[in-house]
Amino acid sequence: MRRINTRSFRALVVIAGVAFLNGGCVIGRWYSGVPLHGDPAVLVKGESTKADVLQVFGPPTQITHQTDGDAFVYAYDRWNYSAIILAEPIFTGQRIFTYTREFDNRDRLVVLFDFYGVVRGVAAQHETQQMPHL
Amino acid sequence: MRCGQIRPLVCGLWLVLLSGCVIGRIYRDHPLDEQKIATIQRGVTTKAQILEQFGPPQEIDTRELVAIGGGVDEVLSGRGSKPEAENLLGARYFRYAYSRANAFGIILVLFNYAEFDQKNDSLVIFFDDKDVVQDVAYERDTDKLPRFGFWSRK
Repeated sequence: MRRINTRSFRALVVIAGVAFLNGGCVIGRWYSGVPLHGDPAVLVKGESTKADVLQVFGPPTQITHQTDGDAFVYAYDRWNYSAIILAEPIFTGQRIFTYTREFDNRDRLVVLFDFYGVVRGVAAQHETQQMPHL
Repeated sequence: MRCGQIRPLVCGLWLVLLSGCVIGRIYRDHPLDEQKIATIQRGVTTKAQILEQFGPPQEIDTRELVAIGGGVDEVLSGRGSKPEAENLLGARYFRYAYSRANAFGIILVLFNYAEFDQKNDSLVIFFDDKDVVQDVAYERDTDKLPRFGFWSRK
C-alpha cells in the first residue's frame, strides 16, 4: 500500500479546509455624482445672486422651496464597504464569522435664496475626504 | 509529469475557474446636445423654443405664492376693502439629464472587489414669469466616469 507523505497530507487538509470553510474578503465602493467644485467662500450673503451660484457650482443636484425662498442643494455621495466572511457553503450554508464595516459619507453644499434670488445663507460640509481607504 | 508537478496546476486551474470579473454599464435617457445648449440665450429664448429643441424635460417645477396685504382677521372675516395681492414666483425650471453608471467587479476566491459609479449630465433652465430663460446651467460629468473601476480612476 502506498503511503501518503506528510507534505501531501498537509496539502489535502488545506484544500479540504478551504473547500469546507469558504471565506473571503469583500470590498465595495459606490460613488454618486462628482466632488463639489468651487469655493463657497466666494458667495457673499445679500449680494451674490442665483446666476452667480449657477456659474460657480453648475446645476444643483436638488432645488427645494422654502416659505421664504428657494434652496439649491449640491451633493456628492460615497459609500465604502468592507467585509470579512467565513462560511461553510456545502452542508449548512451557514456563515460562521462575518465582520463588516461601512462608511456612508457625503459632501453637501446648501445655498439659500430670498424671493429675489439673492443668497441669504450658505452651508458646506465635506465628509468624503475623511473616509478611510480600507 | 509527476504527481507533485500536477498539483499546483490543478490548484491554479481551480482558482481560475472560480474567479471572475464583472463589468456593467447603465445608460438612462440620451446625451444632451451641447450645440443646442450653446444656443440658449438669457432673456431671449422662450420656454416654447426650449421644448421644441430639447423635448419634454425630466423634471419640471414651479412654485407660486400669493402674498396678501392687510391683517389676517380682515382677510378671514371678509370685511373691509379687498387686500392687495402680490404674486411671488419661486424657482420655475426645467431639468434635462443624462445618467450613466459603470459597475466593475473582481471576484476571486478569497478576495472580492466591487465598484459602482454613477454620474450625470445636467441642464437646468430657469424661466421668469414671462416664460423667457432667466438662467441656465449645464455640467457634463459623465465623461469623468472611470471605464474599468479604480484602474482607470483619475
